[in-house]
Amino acid sequence: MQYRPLGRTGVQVSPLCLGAMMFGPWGNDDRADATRIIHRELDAGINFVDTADVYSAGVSEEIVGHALAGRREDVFLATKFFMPMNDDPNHRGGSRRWIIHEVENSLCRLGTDYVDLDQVHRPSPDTDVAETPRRAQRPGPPGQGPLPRVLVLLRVADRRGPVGLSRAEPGAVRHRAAAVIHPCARRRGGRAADHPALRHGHPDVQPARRRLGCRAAGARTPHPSRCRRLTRASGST
Amino acid sequence: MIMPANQRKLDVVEDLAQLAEAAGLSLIEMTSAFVINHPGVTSAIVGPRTMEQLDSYLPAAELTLSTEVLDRIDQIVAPASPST
Repeated sequence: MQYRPLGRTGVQVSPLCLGAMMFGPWGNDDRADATRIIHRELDAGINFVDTADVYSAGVSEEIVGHALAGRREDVFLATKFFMPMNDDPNHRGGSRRWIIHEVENSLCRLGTDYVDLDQVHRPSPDTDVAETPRRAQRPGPPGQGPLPRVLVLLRVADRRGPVGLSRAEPGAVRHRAAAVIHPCARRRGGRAADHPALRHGHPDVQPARRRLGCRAAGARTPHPSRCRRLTRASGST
Repeated sequence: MIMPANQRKLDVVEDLAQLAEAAGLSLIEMTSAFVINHPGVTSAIVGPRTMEQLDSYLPAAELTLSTEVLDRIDQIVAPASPST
């Protein structure tokens, strides 16, 4: 299979991308079958997977996360935000407030520490979404700079309009682990910054979670109630 | 009762299906390859619901459409045509 460069990110992607909109109650609600489909795609050489928070109200992301267990590093994983996730007027859109919360929720459902590409799902004429990614960060552990939440944020104007690429920090992906463990460590009184898994930027956060006694979502599909606990522990609502 | 605009689209689909058959391709393979072959496209998102649908898309990743097929597609649907 011939891989192609994704813009100037330096990443090579397959000419086909697996769209996950049909996995879950919106389409194929047989999770085992959906997992088989995803695995068949990966085995065929496809390394690009696209989903969205809104697809089947989060179930698509959960299915993708489960199927990618053990193969996360083989995939350039994309998701989206913007569509309403419930009736709350602020659980949608392109505000900095919502992006910060919803990225955490997507990561939890996807069972991973990072997404490669997060896309603005709709055009946003009255919100400065282009400014948001530069500020969609969280302070890192003591001694470290701010941590990016996603590697690339792609602004999708609409299906016919221009597409802009803003901000790519592929080298910072390992540091994402600290932002996930830190809220748990704070809750239990530990010091996440001292943990060797974080000092060395190791991508496997499972041992770190066990050492810290953290019950946050790991590489397996998390139960949604755990995702809500993680969000509360981080201090966000 | 089919609306005239939709009937025109269905007629186009029929022409494309015949072109695909003449080129030894399924309609899915030809249309997916058409998107992938476009110089402005990095990757085409396909959203299968079933394994059978997935299997129908996969060959497109390795297909290069000939100039003749691309020209014939442009004759059936002119480039930059409106979608309706």
